[in-house]
Amino acid sequence: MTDAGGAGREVALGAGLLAALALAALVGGALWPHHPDRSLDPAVAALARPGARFVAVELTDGRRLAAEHVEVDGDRLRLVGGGRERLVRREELADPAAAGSVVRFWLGSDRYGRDVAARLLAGARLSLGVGLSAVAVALALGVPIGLAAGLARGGRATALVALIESAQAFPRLFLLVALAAVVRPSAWILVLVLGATGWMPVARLVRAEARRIGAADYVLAARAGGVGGVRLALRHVLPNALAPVVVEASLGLAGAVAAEAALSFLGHGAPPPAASWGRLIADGRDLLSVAPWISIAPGIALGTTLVGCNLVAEGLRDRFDGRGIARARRAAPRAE
Amino acid sequence: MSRCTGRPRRWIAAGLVLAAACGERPVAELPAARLRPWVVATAVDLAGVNELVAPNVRFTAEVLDLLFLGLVEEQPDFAEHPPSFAPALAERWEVSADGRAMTFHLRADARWSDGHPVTARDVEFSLRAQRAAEVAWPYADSKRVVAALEVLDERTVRFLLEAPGPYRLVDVNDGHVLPAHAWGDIPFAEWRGAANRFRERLATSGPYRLAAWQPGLELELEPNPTYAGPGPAPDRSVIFRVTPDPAALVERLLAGEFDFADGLSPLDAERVTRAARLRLLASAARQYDCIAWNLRRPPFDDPEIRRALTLAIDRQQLVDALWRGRARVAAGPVPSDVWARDPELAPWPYAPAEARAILARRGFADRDGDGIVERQGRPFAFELTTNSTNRLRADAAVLIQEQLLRVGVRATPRLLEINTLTELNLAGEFDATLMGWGIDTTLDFRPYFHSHEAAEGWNFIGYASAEVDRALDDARAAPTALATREPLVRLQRLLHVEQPYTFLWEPPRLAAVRADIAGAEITPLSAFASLPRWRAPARP
Amino acid sequence: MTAFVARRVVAGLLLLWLVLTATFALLHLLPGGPGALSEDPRVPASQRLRVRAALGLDRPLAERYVRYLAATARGDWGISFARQRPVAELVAEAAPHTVTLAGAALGLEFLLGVPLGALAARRAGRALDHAVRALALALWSMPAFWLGLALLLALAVEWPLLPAGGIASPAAASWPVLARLGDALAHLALPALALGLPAAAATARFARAVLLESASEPFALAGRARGLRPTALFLRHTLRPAGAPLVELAGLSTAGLLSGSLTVEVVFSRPGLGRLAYDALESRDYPVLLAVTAAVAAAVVLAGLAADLAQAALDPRSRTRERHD
Repeated sequence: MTDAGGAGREVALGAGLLAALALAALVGGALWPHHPDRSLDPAVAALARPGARFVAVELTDGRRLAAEHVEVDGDRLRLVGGGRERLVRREELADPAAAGSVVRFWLGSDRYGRDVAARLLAGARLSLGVGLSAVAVALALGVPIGLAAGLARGGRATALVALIESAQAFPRLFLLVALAAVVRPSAWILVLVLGATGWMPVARLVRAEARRIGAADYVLAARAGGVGGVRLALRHVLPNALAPVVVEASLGLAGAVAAEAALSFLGHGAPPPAASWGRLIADGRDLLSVAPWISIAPGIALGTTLVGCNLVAEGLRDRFDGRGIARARRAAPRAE
Repeated sequence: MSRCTGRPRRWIAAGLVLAAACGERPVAELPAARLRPWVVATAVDLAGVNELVAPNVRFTAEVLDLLFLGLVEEQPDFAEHPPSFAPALAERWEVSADGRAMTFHLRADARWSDGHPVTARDVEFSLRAQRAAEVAWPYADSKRVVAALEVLDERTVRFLLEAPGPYRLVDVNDGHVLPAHAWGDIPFAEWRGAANRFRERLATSGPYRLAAWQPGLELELEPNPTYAGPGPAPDRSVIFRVTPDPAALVERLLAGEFDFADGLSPLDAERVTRAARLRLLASAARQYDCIAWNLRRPPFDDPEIRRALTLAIDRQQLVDALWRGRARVAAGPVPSDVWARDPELAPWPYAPAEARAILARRGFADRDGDGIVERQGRPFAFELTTNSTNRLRADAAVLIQEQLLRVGVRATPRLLEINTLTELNLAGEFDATLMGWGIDTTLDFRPYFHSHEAAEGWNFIGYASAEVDRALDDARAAPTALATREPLVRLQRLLHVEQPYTFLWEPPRLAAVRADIAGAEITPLSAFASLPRWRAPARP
Repeated sequence: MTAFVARRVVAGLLLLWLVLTATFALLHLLPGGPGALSEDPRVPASQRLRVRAALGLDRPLAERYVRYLAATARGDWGISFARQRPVAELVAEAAPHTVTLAGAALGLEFLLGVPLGALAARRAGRALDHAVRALALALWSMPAFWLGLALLLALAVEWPLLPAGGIASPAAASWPVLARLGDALAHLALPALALGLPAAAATARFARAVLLESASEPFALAGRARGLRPTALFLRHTLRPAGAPLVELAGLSTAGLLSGSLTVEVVFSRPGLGRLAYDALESRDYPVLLAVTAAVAAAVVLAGLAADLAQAALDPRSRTRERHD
């Protein structure tokens, strides 16, 4: 496998996956026949297996009833399903001519008869949007602070490290509860909270890299040559420190979604009825042994996103980092 | 499997190590008659052994009911008539003709678990502790009716009351009798830090005593050898195992680890009914859930609009969807299985067309075609708050949002942590809140609906109705419990028309017990009261 | 070196003070007071005030803050509102469970993650590399609270191989030491897996990236040119220089594992610090909340210090830096 070709293929594959996901997120919701928030007769259609089929009947008062099958009985319809029978008069139907429409839950339904696939698509936009933004915020905060902490000396370095560590030690849950009391939850708050609690690992990694690289000869030489702080950081240290950070960032997306899932689990995530992947995982978790598809579907979606991000990130790094895997592989003994 | 203890093993890994070490262990010294303890799952741990300072969480209260006795015991027979009381520490009692004195005669054979007799001194000590300012028992107000306590002899006490009333026995009996000889010399000022001392010197009068307690993990109660009644003595110990995660609890229950688990969700209850090894127990919960409208914020100040909102919420669908049919739609604050319920009272039907008509009559119309009705340019949109940890209520809020959208009203659910929610409610900073209230034995609805409670009390919706006030005052002034029925019926009818709350449902209490255990039942008052009567077929 | 340590210790104390003050302020901004009093209609407003007075909550905030600091400096962490026991006792009871869990998860994370990452790095670009990366991604996308329940279902319920919760079997107190140790490990296994596997996945990816990085450094090539055997080359010139960032990862993992232990402690009924804090938040048990925050902050500081010291030991170049600081 040639190096450039391998890296190029990785990037292409990753980009393809991400593009597919983005497409699904942006237009999938509009194209899919089911609405993510509308429940279909929970007494009958809840926790349906993937592929389950029901007949849905809409009444004039807006209710939707479901049945496994429908029998016509004169001017009434008999709805059979969920272990019972119900009779509905034709006048009550929103569309008296039809005897209901067929509804298929390709990925099953949740505990309120909502289509899991529709919620997955609706959640894609929220989760990907929130996740990517949170990673961006975490990087925007963590990289500069980490660089500064790694390259600074004496009191400044200690102060910056103290800042990073105190942010890490601060109890996130209290902050969330206090925030939830004061501010109405929204996607932006979620982004801020996730970003504000996720920048510390980035900062510490960048700091470690910066310290390591900062001790390298070429950096010392640059310093001796009078290159100042910011320029030193940006031109000589950052490009070389980026490699592990890029990998970290691509995992950061999963971290953000998992963090959002944990928040939803504790009741502080995206406000209902928002169908973020995190919320789906949290909701489906309690039903793991009766309806595993509810939490597995978003998990697979998340995994696919990760694969895409990671392929792109690593492929780009391999491609542009001159001292990367390519040289390592060339240097490795043939016997491997 | 392993013969080292009598208990079947569940996991092989430790079993292998155990098997290796088994040879060295002494043979377990099990007395021949010792039966395997009952294992009960609980989501929370015991908060403390002294009810006056421990937070009043339901689990703690029910466990303390097993350890301590009161003067009398309330019976769960309130369906047809006000609840009756059975003797507990007192074997008989009399009320004077003018209702101002209550005399209790304690059983001669009542003993603490360390052998000391239960005497009038304990009753007197308990009252003093309940009223002590440094102890600051939250329910001390119930003892305001007691003017004085006379100790007539070792086993006779007389409560002198400020005024007679229908529920004086409940007030006098509130709180168990505590051991003066064990706890009497701990100064009241130190009570709020003395949990360790209370535990060390614990003496109990009930059917059980404390055998072992690993905080956060397990609590073991063993039969109290000095217990002489009333009620049967248990035949074995009971272990309460703390399992905070509800999903894990249900899985372990179905796998056979527990003999009993309370507080199941409706979905869990269904799985239990399908399990051959378990039996589902259900009882009323003496509770109702509702949406409390903030009457200080228009348009909720208009009773017609509140009624429209009630008509627009399909409460039966909520019960079907959330409770899988195991709950009942509520029609008022008095649950349908309580004696004071108005038998002619039926919940408002689901009538969205009528709801829309009422809104139209009141000037709401959708003029900009966005699906939400407006009046004078302001859309009918509000925030529906509820507490984040109650799954059912959070889901109900979402379903209600969907239902209200059909009549053009936008409700946005907002989940808040429980303490935050309570504070905001009490401060009147909410639009509508989805919550539940428990029903007191005394059926006292003053705190919620009386206009005098609107400023600082629990009438945080700001409800003020002269007729309702009159009904509540009449109920309080009634000479007997039965006489409170008429004013309470009046109250229910008024609330039905005015809908300060939209009453949603009366939840059940769901528990699972091993199918082969006889004598297990749950009541609205307690899940564990039947424990001493549990018997299993002859198998340890 | 001692100057460095001393400076960090002082910074650590300062940090502790900062975190405690911030937490104190935040707690008192939280709406709602201690616990179950708030919601019971049978408790009139006057009685609620009396309870607050009994708990010392009616004094002005500044006075409570000063008293709190003074008491803490003396070592008196106060009495828990919800359990009426000394807070130090509660923390001392709970801390070992969290420490063992976080320690086991950390051990699992590195014992599993680094070798996997090294394997993937050595076979970079080949099938094994892709397999390891795929596995790591799959594990990383499972949040701990989900994975915990899944493991419980799979390994404790469906096939009862391991215990479903708690820290020891009933009656384990009377077993010989070896059996008790095995029992404790059995109870630690599932929680440590739930917490450690996703972390191991992240570490594997990170280790792979860092190892590839250092394998391409000039000194590695020099070693190869000198004729070092692959294993020695790997251990001395690839793994060791990569040690610094890996140790840094260990330091920050500790913080993450400590905070992640909450959900795992809930699922597996372990009475650790995470659960203690969560229950205390719900009942607004301020003394316990402050004490747990302090304990976690101290652990984070110590972990950071240990990581920095280990880095200095592993990477001689950073030692030179320190002398210039």
